[in-house]
Amino acid sequence: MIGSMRTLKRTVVASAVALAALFGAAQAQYGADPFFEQTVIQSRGFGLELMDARLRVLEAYGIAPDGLDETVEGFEADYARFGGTLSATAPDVAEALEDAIEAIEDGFEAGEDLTDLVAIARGAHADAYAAVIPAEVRASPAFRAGVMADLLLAEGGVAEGVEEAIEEDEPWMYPLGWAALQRVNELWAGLAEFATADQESFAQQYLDTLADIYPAATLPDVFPSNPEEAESPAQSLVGIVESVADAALYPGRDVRRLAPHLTTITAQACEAYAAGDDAIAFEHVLIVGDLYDAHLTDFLGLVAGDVDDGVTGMLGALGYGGDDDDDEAGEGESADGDADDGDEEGDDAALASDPAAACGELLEALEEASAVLGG
Amino acid sequence: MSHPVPLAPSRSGPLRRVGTALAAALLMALTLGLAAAQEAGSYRVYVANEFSADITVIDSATDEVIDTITISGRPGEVRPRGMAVSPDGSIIYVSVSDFNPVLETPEDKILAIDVRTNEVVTEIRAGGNPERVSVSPDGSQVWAALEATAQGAGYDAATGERLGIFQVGIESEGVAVSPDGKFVYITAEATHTVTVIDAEAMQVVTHVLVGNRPREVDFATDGSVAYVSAEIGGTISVIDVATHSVIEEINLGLDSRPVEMQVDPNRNRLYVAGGGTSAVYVIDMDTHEVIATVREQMGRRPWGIAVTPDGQKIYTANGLSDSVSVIDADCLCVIDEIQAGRGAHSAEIGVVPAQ
Repeated sequence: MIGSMRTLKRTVVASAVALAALFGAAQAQYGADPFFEQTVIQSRGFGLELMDARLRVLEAYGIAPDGLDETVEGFEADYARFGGTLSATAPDVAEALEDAIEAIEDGFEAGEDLTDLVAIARGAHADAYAAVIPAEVRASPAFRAGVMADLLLAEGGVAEGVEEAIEEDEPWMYPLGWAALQRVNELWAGLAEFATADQESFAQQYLDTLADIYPAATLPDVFPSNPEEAESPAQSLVGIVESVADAALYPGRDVRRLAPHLTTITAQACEAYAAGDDAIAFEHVLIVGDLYDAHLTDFLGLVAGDVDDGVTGMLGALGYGGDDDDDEAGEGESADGDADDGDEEGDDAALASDPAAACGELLEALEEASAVLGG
Repeated sequence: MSHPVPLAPSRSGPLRRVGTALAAALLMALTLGLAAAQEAGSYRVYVANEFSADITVIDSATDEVIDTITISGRPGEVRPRGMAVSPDGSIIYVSVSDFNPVLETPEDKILAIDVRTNEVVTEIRAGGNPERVSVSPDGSQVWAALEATAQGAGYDAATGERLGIFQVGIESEGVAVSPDGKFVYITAEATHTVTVIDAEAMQVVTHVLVGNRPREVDFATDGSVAYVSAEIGGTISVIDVATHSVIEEINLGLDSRPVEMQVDPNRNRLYVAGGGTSAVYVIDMDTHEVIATVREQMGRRPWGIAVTPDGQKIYTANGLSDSVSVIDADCLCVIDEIQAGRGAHSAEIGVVPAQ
């Protein structure tokens, strides 16, 4: 049995290596490649957008109901995506934003009307956006298209909002999906002028479908019976945005290319850890974890489970919580739940106290993953 | 130069709003096609409508809707999706499931519909959200991709007995049995793989990495290669069946979003429904070159595709316009658009034997 599994793995690896040569031409179809060319910047932008979505939800509710506690707690995870960079580049803005978020958290605990506090936070958030994302990047169609793709497809976005509300019994993901859609509409308004009449017509049909799924921030009386109701229009819309913005928006489209790219980003994280810039290093770890979770773990789990375990274990040791406990990301704790059992769990926990060493182990694990994929 | 006028979906009347000369040529072609169809029997087009939970049945001779088969009285909760036809064309198999993949309900099943009567003659229990089905060349087995459980399963077509069940990639979707009956190929969206099952030894042979988000798989008639559509990859992966390895990627463009495919041995073509561009890509199976792209007057987001056994007509199930586009295989042009149910998903052709 073990022998046949080894043969199976060798066959898969050989196939992957051979296949690597067949891809590539398709990737060149679009002029920009934001998730490869500015990986960490896109992630910081997504963190800022997620924070914006939470503020939109709280703004819509005014007095937030108890169920929104996870929405409020999530600010911390959003901040971890860009907070290190913000603190380094604009410490005053960082302090103002941290204070504003803390005031919201306290106000929520006290059951206060959050309207005024949200308005203050919105100002600090706008300053943070300007400080973290360079103006020329913010204005570029590729960046904005990348943000749209994340808002439509990533965790905390439009497609996932309704799905998690239904499948995971997390109804409060729904208002976040609604908020993400409002932002997608704003961003599309800025891109639509570059669209053909056909593209605009299709995009509007998909946006209308999504608006039917998300008519308001408040929870619907009855959720759709199909948890993936928003998935198809969201995916189709991203396809149109790719063409209109001339930007490739599926970083996992070629997994053989993605795997070595993650080692590059991880190497940058390791350099930051070595320099003592832990918060900036963690910004890199978060996007590596996101991309690995979204595009590589399923395949590697199928054909090379030990390699996959190695990567996920080290991501956990560095504090990456993954999709299931995203709210805890950024708290710097070891995600024991994601680590392996027994001794390995202990090893990972021990490594977490030395993140530079853990980062080195993650780098090695990702290089092995890359080799499996033929990268 | 006049611009083509979009065809309004209707339940009858092919050959409208096309030029006179073209109409005459098409009429000739259709007449020839009909004669061939009558010799072999007549064809019925079955279109699975995901959101209205029914099957639209179209007579390919007239392109009129002749029946609507209700699959469930709970549209929006239960859905028909992928279909397959028995080798003699007499039975259409339909995969049916609920919408919530975390639930395994009694609705998860495969229905067998008699083409002559349009009545369900058999139900096969297939828990795990069957998304697509395939029939073995001798018609004795039905295989299903079970989306929710990441499994592939084979069933005895006559008794419904489960013959084997195998772990495959995550979010399994497409399934095809090789023409010699030896192998079953099953695609998986999330792992970007095709899992190869030895149908005689009943064991998994390998997992093959293919293009991103593989949807459907189809074998060439001689069984030498298999084609796998990759929706996000925008490619058709060509797998050498002897080695179970990818030997070529046919690039349709990143915006193409290919889904269902249909091999036409009559013309040695592979037809591919391009949901992203609302187009049908026509691929020469010898050269693997795209020899034509049908775009004008196509319905919105073609997802399913089927070709009549005589190779004369191609039908696409258009999910966004709830319609079926009819394409003449000679001119490779759209000759009609027929109203279907909501969320037209897949298309398949049944054969009513000649009297």
